[in-house]
Amino acid sequence: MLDQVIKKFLPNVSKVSDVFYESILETLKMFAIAGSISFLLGLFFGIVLLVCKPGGILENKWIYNLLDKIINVLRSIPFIIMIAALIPLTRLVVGTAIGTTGAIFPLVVGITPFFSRQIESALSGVDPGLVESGKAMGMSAFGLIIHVYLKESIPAIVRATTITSVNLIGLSAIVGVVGGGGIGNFAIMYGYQRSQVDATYVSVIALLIIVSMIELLGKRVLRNTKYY
Amino acid sequence: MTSFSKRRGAGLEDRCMSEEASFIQLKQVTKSFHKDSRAIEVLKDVNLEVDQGDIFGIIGYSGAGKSTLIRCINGIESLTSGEVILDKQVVSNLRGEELRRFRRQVGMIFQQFNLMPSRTVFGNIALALRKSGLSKPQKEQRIMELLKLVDIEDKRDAYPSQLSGGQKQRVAIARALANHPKVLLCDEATSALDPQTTKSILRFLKDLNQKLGITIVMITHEMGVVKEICNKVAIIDQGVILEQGDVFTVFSNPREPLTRTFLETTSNLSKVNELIRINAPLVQLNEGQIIVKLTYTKTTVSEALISEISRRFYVDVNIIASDIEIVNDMLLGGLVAILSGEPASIEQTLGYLQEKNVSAEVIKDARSSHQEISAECV
Ligand SMILES: Nc1ncnc2c1ncn2[C@@H]1O[C@H](COP(=O)(O)OP(=O)(O)OP(=O)(O)O)[C@@H](O)[C@H]1O
Ligand SMILES: [Mg+2]
Repeated sequence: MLDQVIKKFLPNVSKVSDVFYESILETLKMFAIAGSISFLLGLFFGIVLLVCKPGGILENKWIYNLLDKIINVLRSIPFIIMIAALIPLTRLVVGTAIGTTGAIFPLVVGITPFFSRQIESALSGVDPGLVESGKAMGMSAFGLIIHVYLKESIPAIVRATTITSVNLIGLSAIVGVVGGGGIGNFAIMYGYQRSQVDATYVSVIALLIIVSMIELLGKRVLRNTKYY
Repeated sequence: MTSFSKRRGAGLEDRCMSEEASFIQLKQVTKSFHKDSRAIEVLKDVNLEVDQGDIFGIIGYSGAGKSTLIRCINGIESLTSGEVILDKQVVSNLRGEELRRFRRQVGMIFQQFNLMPSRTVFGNIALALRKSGLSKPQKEQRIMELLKLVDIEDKRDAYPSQLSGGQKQRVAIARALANHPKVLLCDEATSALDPQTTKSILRFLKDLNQKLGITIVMITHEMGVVKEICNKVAIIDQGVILEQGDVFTVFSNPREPLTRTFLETTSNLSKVNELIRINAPLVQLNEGQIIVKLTYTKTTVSEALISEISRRFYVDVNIIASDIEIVNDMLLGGLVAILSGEPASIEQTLGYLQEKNVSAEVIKDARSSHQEISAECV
C-alpha cells in the first residue's frame, strides 16, 4: 500500500531510495564533523576578537585588526568560489577534495568566520558592569572569560549556534554541487541533471526537516538555560 | 572578622596621628583617556587622604570623574601619573596575581548592583570566594554568615531578577564583604534606590563602619548622602578636587561656589530668595524690619539664641524658614527670620550674633536709613 503511494508520487526517487538515505547520512555526517570543529574554532576566535577589541580586557590592536580583516575577507567570498579556490589546500589538509571528507575542510573555512562573529556579538552583549564587578573581585582575564562572559551569555551562544547550524546545513548542500556528497549532491545529480522533479522535492523536504529539528532543539536548549 | 577599630569618626586621635601616613593616599594622580588621538584629562592632580575608619564622601556632578577616581583606588583603572597607596601598598606598582589578590581585599559596590543574573544570591557570593582558599563547607558557612549580616537569609536561592533594588544592593554588599576587606568602595551605591531604601542602606553602611571598622569611600552626586553618613568629604569638579576636609568644616564654611551650590540643593533656605524675588506676602516688610539669614558656623549655639535676642534687645524674631541638620553630632545650617524692633536694637542684635559666631546676612532691608535691597545670594 505505502509502497504504491511512494512509487506513484516519487517514481524516480523510489528507484534510488538507498542512494537518497545514504545522502541524508552524508549530510548529517558533514554537519556533525564540520559543525563540531567550527564550534570550537568559532568559540575560540570569537573570544579572541572580544578580548582584543579596543577597550577589551586584553586589548591588542594587532591581533584584533588582523583577525578582523581575515574574517571580513573570508566572509565576502561567495562560498561556491571559496570551495574551488580551496581545492589545493583541501587536498593538502585532508588528502582529497571530493566526497564528504573533502567537503568538511571548506565547510569549516566557510562557517567559522560567521560563527566567530556571532560569538563575538553574543559575548559583547554582556553588561560591562558585570565585567567591572568581576575585575573588582580580583578575577583574571581567564576567569572573566569563563565565569562572566561565557557564563552570562549562554542563551545568546545557544541562539548563535542555532543560526549558524542552519547556515551550515545550507553550505553543506552547496558543497554537494561540486561533488561533496550529501543531500545537495543528490538533488543536483537526480533532480537537476536528470530533471527528476520528485528528487528535488524530497531533497528540499529533507533539508527542511533537518533545519526544523535544529531549530526545535535550539529552542528546547534555550528554555533550559533560562534562569528566571 | 576584621580587627575592631577603636578610632572612629572625626575623633581627635585621628588629627593627632596625622604624621603617620594616611590609610589611603592619592598623590598627584592624573588620568587621561585617549580618544581619536586626543587626550582627555579626566583627573587632574588629585590628592586625597583617607584615614582608617573614615566614611569619605566624594561629591560631584555627572562626568566630574568620580567613577574614574574610585576605580583608580582598586587599580581597575591605571593611572597616567601619580601614585595611589592603600594600607602601605602602592597600588600602581602591583601587577598580575598580586594586583588581583589586592583587589580581593577591597570591596566594591555599584549603582546598578552588578550582580550576575545567571547566578543565585548564593552563587553570586560564592563567586567572590572562588579564590579564597576556603573549603566547600567553609565557603557555605561564610556565605550564610554574610547573608545573615545583610539580613536576607531567606533569599539564598533567589535570582537577582527576583529581588528588589534594596535587596540587590544588600547582596552586592555581602559579596563585597566576602573576603573581609578593609575598604569598601561605593560608586553611587544608592543612586538607583528610593529615598527610604537609600536611608536603610546608608544606615547599614554606617553600622558596618562602626562594627567592623571598615573604611568606606563613597561616591555620590547627592548632598543628602554625604550629610547622612560621611565624616569627610571632597568636592570634585571636572577632574579637580576643589576642597576636602571633615564634613562639618567644609559645609559650615564652604570656600568654593560649587560647594555652596551643592549645599543649596538640600537647603530650603534658598527658597526664600525666590520668595523675595516675587515679593511674596510672607516676605513683605513693614518699615524698620529686616530679613536676615543666620548660618551656624560653630557649635556654640546650644544656648537659646533666639529667645536671648528677644529678651536682651527687645527685637521680635519671626522665623520664616529654617534648615538645621545634625552632621557629625554638630549643628549645620541656619534659618531665615524677620527681625523687627528699634533700629539701634537691630544693630546691636547683629553685633551680638557676630560675637556668637553666627553669620548674619541681611537679605532684605526696610529700615528708613537703608534703601530696600534684596541680595541675590542667600
Ligand atoms: N574609558 C573611557 N574612555 C574615554 N573617556 C572616558 C572613559 N571613561 C570615562 N571617560 C570620560 O571621563 C569623564 C569622567 O567619567 P566618569 O565616569 O569618571 O564620571 P562620573 O563622575 O563617574 O560621572 P557619573 O556621575 O555620570 O557616573 C567623562 O567625561 C567620560 O566621558
Ligand atoms: Mg560614575
